[in-house]
Amino acid sequence: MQVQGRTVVQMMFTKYYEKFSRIIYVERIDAREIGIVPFSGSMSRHMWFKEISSFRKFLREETPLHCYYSVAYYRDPSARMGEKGWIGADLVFDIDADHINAPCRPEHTPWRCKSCKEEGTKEVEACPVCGGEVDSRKWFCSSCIKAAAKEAVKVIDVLREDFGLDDIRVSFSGNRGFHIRAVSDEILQLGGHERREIGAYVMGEGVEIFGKRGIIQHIRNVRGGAWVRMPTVRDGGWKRRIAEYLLRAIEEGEIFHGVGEELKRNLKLALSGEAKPHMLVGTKALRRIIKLAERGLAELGGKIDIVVTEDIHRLIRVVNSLHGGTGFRVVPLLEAEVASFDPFSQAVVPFNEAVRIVVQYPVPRFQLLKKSYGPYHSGEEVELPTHAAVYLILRGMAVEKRESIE
Amino acid sequence: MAANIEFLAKYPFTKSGVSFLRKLKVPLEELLQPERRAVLNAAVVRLEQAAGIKPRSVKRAVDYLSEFLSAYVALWMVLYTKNRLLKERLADYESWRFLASSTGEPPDVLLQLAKEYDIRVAREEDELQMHFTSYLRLTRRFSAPEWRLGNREPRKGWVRISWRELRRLLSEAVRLWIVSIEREVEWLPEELRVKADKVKEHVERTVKAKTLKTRGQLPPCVEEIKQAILRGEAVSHQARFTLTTYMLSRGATVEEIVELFTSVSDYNPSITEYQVMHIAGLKGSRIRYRPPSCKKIKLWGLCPIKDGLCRFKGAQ
Ligand SMILES: [Zn+2]
Ligand SMILES: [Zn+2]
Repeated sequence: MQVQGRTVVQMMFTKYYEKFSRIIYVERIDAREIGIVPFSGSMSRHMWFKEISSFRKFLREETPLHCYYSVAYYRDPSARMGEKGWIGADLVFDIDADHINAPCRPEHTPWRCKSCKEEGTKEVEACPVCGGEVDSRKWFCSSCIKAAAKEAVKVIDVLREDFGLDDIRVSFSGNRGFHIRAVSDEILQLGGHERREIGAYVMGEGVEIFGKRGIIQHIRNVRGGAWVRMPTVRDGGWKRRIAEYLLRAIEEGEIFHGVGEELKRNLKLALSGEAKPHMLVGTKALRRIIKLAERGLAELGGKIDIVVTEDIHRLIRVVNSLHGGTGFRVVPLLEAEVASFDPFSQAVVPFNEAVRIVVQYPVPRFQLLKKSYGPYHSGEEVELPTHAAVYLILRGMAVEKRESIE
Repeated sequence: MAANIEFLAKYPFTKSGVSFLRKLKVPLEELLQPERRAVLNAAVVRLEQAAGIKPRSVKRAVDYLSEFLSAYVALWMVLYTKNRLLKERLADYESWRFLASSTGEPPDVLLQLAKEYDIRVAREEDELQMHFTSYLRLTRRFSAPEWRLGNREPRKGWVRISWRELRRLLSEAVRLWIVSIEREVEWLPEELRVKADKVKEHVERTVKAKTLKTRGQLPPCVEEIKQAILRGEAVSHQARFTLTTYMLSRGATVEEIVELFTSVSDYNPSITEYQVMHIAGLKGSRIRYRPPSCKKIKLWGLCPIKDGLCRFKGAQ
């Protein structure tokens, strides 16, 4: 980001915190480490506020670009890392659309040719003009966020059903994903290794589909097939999820070759727990079922950034603060709101004063507060409402147009 | 249920054991009295078995009280040496002893033992369940796939286990109990000091012999794992997998790798050999596994290089 682009951003952030600092909230702030990234200079960590009111005052006066709090609780949050006195930490999950290959991505991947400077907003492998290498950037649309929300819903289901964790806080991360935080004395003291295993579980890692202890439990081979125990919807954990997946696949008329009508009927009864789960399946059919179950596991596994989950000292964004990479608000959400959440209307801070910017990089068409903008090409000068200008500036796609003072 | 001395002789490293010991208030000097000889002798035997100098056995040669005390004297000897590896060995030995002694214990006793270690278990008729927090803590080092949470069916936080599995998990609790003791013992009677030092030297000698065999340039992640193993630290399944596949790709033999693992405190030659052969594609699925990618190693938290400037990057 260019230095001269900062002022309008800074103005918007300052106004925001002046007006809305009262909605900033960090639970048990007295036991948390606070970290901020200022508009200029590097990140400061190990900050401590005794009360939320003094933190709000700090935000009004200092206006940081980013602000974070530790998932950990410390006896002395402002001490150096090894000396804080770790008490415990919430269990967190980070879902980032960047890690999910949403099908819409090629539609909005701006690029610029390194040789001939040709540019565009839809994904290309090489420059269509000269065939040269292109430099491309990531861009996100509401479909991308919807894909991330789907992952969040999966993670929440696992936390609730499998781990019995009921106190779950969800927020939009302010950029392109979601943060999920489970708060409970039970998980407070889990170490990094245990958290990693929970993360792996959520992702469906290490789950055996077929085998002696598999989801589809192999009992013994017989000529031309095998006795297996099918998972059922009455089982727990991944068995239940895969059973539901297979049932859906059958009900939705998913055709799998080699599986006859009778077997399909029996399979349905077994999966739904209406008949004994043990059945004899021919080799070919079994192979199809295993394949389908594997696909189910890959689809149902939560796409999380496990590094965040296992880190017992992690800093995450303060709810209702502004994200310094978008200008969006980190929005706390009810679980029921997650699936339909649209940051491009709900996380935008409606500061509307017109600002002139100069586009620096091709910008795909986008929507904010139900208004469409773009596409823009670089060099283009446009007048936008503050929130839209700030969005492009913070994404590194534009700079503020300012009168020369020389 | 008040723990009786027979129970404590079998299970000395329990909360009840500690409080019983406290009430006894036996001064160390008193153990040197001739009528306490049996305790010292039993303690030395325990330690020698733990260090692998003598074959393991749970045959009781002394009265319950002496047996109980000998467990703690052996522990004090280990703490006196301040040797981590020896402590791991003792922990592993006591864990094994627990498993051997608890064979055939009725459910009530096992449930009481779970309480001794603050392990959350719930029993409903014949169903036994462990809370996932206890389960994760205790299975941390278990590399077999059946222990992975993904192959279990946690429901509302509870994981179903069998009574046999409970015993295995309890024995791990014993191991963790001993490993996590940070107390130091500064003074021991001369006789025990000499014995303790001897055992320590034996353990150190066997480790050194192994260090020499695996010299050569290893990527930093593999090197770290190797060193951790040589120090007798418990390493994760993924770490073992990384080390094994890498050494295999370097042309090491199964025997050489098994050798390297013999310093791991939960070493069991036949299982280790099986695991290594499995990874080498000589057993089981017959798939020869390749060393994991840098990305995987990072994901597993095994990459010690934080700035991304690893000169082995991508080399496999
Ligand atoms: Zn070009
Ligand atoms: Zn998209």
